[in-house]
Amino acid sequence: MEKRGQVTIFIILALLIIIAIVLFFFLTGDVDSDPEQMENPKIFIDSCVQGAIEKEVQILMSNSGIKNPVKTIRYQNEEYNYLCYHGDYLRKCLNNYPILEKRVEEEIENETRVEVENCFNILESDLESRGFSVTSGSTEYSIDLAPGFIKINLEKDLTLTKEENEQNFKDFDSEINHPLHDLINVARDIVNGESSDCSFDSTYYSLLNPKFIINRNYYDESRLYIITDKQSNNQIKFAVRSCVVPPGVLIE
Amino acid sequence: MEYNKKIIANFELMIILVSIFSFAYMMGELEKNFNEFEEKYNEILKENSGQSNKFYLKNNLNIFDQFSNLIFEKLKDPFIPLASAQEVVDSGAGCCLLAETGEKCATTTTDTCDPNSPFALGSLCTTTSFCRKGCCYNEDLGIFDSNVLESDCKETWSPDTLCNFPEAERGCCVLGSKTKFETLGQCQIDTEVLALGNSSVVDWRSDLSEAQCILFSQTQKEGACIFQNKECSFQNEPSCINSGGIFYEDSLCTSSFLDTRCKPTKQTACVDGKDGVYFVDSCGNIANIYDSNKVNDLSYWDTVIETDNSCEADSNNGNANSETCGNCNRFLGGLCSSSIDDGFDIEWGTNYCKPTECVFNGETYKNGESWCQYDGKTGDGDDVPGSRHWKYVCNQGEVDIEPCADYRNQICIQQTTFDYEGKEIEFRNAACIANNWRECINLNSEEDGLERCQDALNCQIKQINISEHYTFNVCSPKYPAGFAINDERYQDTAKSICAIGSRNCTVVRVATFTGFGCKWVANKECLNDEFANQMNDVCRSLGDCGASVNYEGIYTENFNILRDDEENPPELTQAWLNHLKTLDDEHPGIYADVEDYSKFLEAAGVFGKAPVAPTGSDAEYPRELTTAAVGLGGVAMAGAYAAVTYSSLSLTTSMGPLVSSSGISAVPAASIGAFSGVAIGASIGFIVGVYLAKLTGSSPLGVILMGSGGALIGGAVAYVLIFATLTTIPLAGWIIAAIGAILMIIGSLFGSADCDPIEVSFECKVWQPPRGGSDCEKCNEDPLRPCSEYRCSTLGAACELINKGTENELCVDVNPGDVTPPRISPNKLNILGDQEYTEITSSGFKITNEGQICIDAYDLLFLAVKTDEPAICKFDFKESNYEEMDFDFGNVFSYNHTIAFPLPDPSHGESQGLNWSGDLDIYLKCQDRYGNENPNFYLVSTCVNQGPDVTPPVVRATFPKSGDKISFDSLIQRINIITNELATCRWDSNDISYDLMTNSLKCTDRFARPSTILGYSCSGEVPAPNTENNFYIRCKDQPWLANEEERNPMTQGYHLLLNKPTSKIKIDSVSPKGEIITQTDQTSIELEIITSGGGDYHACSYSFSGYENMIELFETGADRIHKQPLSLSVGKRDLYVECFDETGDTAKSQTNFTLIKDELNPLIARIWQEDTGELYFITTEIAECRYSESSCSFVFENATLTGKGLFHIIDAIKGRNYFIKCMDEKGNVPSDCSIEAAAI
Repeated sequence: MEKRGQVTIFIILALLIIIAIVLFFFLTGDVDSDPEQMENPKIFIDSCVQGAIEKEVQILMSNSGIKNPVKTIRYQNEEYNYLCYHGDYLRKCLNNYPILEKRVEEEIENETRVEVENCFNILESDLESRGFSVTSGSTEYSIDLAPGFIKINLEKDLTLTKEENEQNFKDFDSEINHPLHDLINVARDIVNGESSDCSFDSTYYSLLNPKFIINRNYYDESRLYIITDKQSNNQIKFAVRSCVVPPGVLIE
Repeated sequence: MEYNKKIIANFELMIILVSIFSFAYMMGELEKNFNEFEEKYNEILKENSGQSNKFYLKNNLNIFDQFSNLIFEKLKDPFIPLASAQEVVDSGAGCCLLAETGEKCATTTTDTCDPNSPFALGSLCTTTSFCRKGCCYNEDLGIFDSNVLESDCKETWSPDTLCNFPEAERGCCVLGSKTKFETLGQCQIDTEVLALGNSSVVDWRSDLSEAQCILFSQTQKEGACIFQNKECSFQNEPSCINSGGIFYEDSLCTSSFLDTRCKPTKQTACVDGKDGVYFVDSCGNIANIYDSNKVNDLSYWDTVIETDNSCEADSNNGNANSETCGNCNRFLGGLCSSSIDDGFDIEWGTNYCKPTECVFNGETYKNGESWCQYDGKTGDGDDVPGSRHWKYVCNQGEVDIEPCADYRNQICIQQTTFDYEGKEIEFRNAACIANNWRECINLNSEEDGLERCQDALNCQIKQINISEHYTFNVCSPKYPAGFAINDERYQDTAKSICAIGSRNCTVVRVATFTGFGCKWVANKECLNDEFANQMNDVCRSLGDCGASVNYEGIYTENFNILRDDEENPPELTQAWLNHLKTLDDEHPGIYADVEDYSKFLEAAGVFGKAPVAPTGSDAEYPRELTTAAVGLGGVAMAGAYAAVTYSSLSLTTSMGPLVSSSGISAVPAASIGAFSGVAIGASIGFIVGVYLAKLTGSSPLGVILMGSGGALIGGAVAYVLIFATLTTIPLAGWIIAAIGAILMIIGSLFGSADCDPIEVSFECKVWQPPRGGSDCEKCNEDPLRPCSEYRCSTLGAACELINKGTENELCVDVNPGDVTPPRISPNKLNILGDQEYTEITSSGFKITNEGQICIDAYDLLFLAVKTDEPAICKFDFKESNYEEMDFDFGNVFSYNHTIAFPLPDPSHGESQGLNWSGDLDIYLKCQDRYGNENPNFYLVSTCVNQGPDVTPPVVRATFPKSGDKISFDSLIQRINIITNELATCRWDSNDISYDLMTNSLKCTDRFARPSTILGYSCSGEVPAPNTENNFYIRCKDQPWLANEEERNPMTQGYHLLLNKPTSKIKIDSVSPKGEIITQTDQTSIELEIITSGGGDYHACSYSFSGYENMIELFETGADRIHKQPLSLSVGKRDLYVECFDETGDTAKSQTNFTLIKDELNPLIARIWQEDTGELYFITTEIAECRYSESSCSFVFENATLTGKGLFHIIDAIKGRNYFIKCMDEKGNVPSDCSIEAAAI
């Protein structure tokens, strides 16, 4: 056989393979209704819940972990939430969001609870459409921020029945690798420094904690912080107004 | 004959006696005449000597400048939103927990307070319960947050704002091979969640610092953890055991004898918590340090090799930029980083030791080193407008820039070495710290301010040494503050601070002996240019004042020097100008001083001290001697004096019969009396001559000649009266009289030259940038030193920062091409009293009094105009160029321009030889930021009511005020009163008429030169023996009038009541005292001082070092309880407390207390179990440990001993529980267990 003929055959074979793959995905529907996932609901729930949480975390990160901040300052077209603020001159700032970690955990929980329930609803309706009988209990859902990851504590009694087979699921815990916990810790160190000492020594801090980049801008009597996790490039930003000294004014 | 001899002898005796008296009198008169010069001279010297060590804020340049002093008085008021309790109450405001702006604990009105928020009407937030601040914490999580409102804390809250709890202390948490510096609570959580298991031992070491903790992580033992199916993970022992693996210490997963599925690779990685570049095996486990020479060396993949034994361990730059070795050390200069991201070629893998050193301006800085950069010269008061201090930091190879606070509210200080365990380490360390400039300014108004200035942080004594008699000191900041010159909120303060540098120098001259010309007596040097140099130097050092360049080197002159003789004033020398123009240049090697901050650190949050009220001036001003016409005209006045002289002589002659009654014969007696009479006549003639000379303003020579001439004429006249009639006067008599007359005429020709003192005034003004905006863009050019509102404003008057807070923030010329001058119009809003602005046109207006045409003399004239754009307005009483106008409204660009000054009675001015009339035209011009000024004058006309003065003076103010409290101890009180016109004043304890009052006050002001904005000042002392002391003050105007009848006395006394407190201020208690047990190294305590007695306002200060360095309490003055939270380390403290009230009385107290740290029970730092079954544990200090296998409730002495020391072993049996307690050498033992452990 001539070489040109061989090449033609290979091309035809390659096209057939591609067509077969396309047909396979076309006939089997979208990824969400992957039968393997449906029969192992944890995979679907992990994916669905983690997607919702990741999306929410991104939103929260740009607001220093607070969904609806009370007081913000706009700088370079971005809003910075005041984690610590005092409007008077020469006053140490008040920590507006103490125990920020818990507050952020609650924010994530509250903002994603409906979506988490929705994930189960999608799962149940899909399974039912595939002939499964589904019974489910209440959802126990919470978030823990841990060093390097976000821990999703999710429990729900889920029983799948098809014909005589019955499967029980309960534990849907999962983790998302994310430095949110560590970034919040840095933010807390900064806020505690600003609220107790009127300042924060970012030089020393950076030397001892090189995995973070701390950017500090000065604008309108406030200090605007952006903390970046070097490895993931995730950022948290916030503002502080503390111990402001007025320009050229004598003070009583 | 004998009789004649006797007569002659008596006559000679009489002549001698009379001559002695006559000559003595003549000399006395002469001396008195010359003494007047001396007195004048001394008074002027006193005025110019800088008033010893006390700096008077008084500016006697002119009445307009007085206005600025009133502004300075306002410095005592809070300029910043630190409302006083009374202000809050008065304004109807209160404390709002949550304002509509989102601000918490803000002083607002109910309108701006969130409707759902608590609101305390009339309360300061510091006194409300809902604004109490404290520590919010969650002990389980180990999180402690400071300065939290109780209402914001959903966890546990404690009033200790600084969270000084033992549980809040940080230590080194060992998490496998990593370490974290955190609280014990956080460590427990991390140990649990990092899959080290619930039963894992928490390894938290309180004795390690943060840096030691990092180093400790590198010494952690790790090894291969083998699982089933040849799986391997490189980790530490506890986590391996917890996860069910078999641990091989110091072995790598690629070790040939372990036979795992993990194989060596050529890949590398950075490891969290470690500095170096590590090889990675095929399972993703880290192996040894990257060493290109070992890539194919399988033995390198067997066991763990310490970094000290790895490649290039002795590198002095941490192997930065090494292509072959990954043994990085962040402290020496290298830290693992991605070679791909950084574009670095590495032999193997994707990581390298990124240099952490930085090179800046050719100099190398270690990682973490920081240094100061300045925009020009710093210190000595030389920081120029717009300049800022910058802290540069070498941060992992990158130079980061930290700007110190703008307006030079912070300065950058730098140290090049530090002491570490007795060894001097070279490491540059910079810091932005608060600039203490306010304290320096305030010290100028305190009694011992200059002495304290020597030691005050960031302050310097600026010495003016222009002449022997013009020498004084000013306390000024080493690093003068920047002013927000375009912000009207701060302009008045800026003007007032600069005004401190406004001073007068009086150059004293006297006529020469002959009267032809003047000779310099004192302060001639004030006419030299050195005066301008030195005065501007002080002016600049106060803030953004005076003549200076901006940070780009553009010079503007912002002072005004005037001579009242209208000659050319001194100017800055060219050499000095050149020097000024170099101040924006870099001055390498000059840094802000590193001073002793120790005593100020304790005063965190306390900035400066309120200036005390400036006391009345003791300076005496010489009365201005107004010289009348000099010359022969004065002779004509002699006639009037002659009549008086004659009547005096008549009195003398009438003494004749009395003398004759002594029994001496008539002729000889007449003869002797005649000679005596001649001598007396000569004396009287001399006096007349001297007085005539004085009246005609003769020189000393003229005085002598006229006095001598008068004496001769007087003698001749006396001779005529005694011996003869005019027809029988001997020729000699005529000759003598003629000589006398000639002498007087000649003497009158020796008129004194006009040698009035010359007053040279230096007015220190707020620094202003050059007009226009041609340099604005320069602010945007240096990305390393970003522009700011302040910097932008100093580059040009028309420069503004636009797009603030956006990425396009730029300093630009806001209205290029502007050629339109500002439009002036009256500003009626700023008029007070009954004055009206009438006949308003585009070119001016008229000021009248309501219902009258002219305003009353001595009423304050309010001149208020506004402009349609920011402008600097000037005015004068004559037509002159803008630049030459003598007066301004303050050298700041503003829309509103207001000034107030009193206008004296025109007739008073005229009577004092001044060319005043009742009509007054004020010529005004304004200049905008581009230098466009009005081509025509804006004319403000007014007039002052004229006519005979029939109005008595008015007492406008007193100090102390009536009803004020004075010192409890004082028996005599100094008082100052201010009158609306020049007057003399007296006081009495009864309200009697002025003439009957016998106690005079000293009124030293000069006409048209009141020493205060309110008017003319008189001062004196009054007795104050009682709790209530009543005085009545009456004054009489026009003191220059000889005829007392023409003067107007007050018909009703001004009542001044001075009260004394019923008791002196006393410190009742000071706490803490004694011993205070604490569990932490740093402890929060509350200093509390309770006072009683004294006046209405009490304030306290404290110090731990002595009464020299007192720090005012933050919460003081409002009450009798004065508090200050302090954070102190353990140890004994001597506490010095001083309180004072508004009367100036003070009370001191001293106490001491000791903070004792309660030693904690020994902790178990680490516990693990060996394969052999033994349970090992380490205690945090030397301890004796015992255990029970049943519970924690065991008697320590009866339990099983594990040993004494740091290291303990239990021969454990699998499945059993061990309840362990440890007791340290001081006997501290927990009631509960130190730890519970289960043997596995």
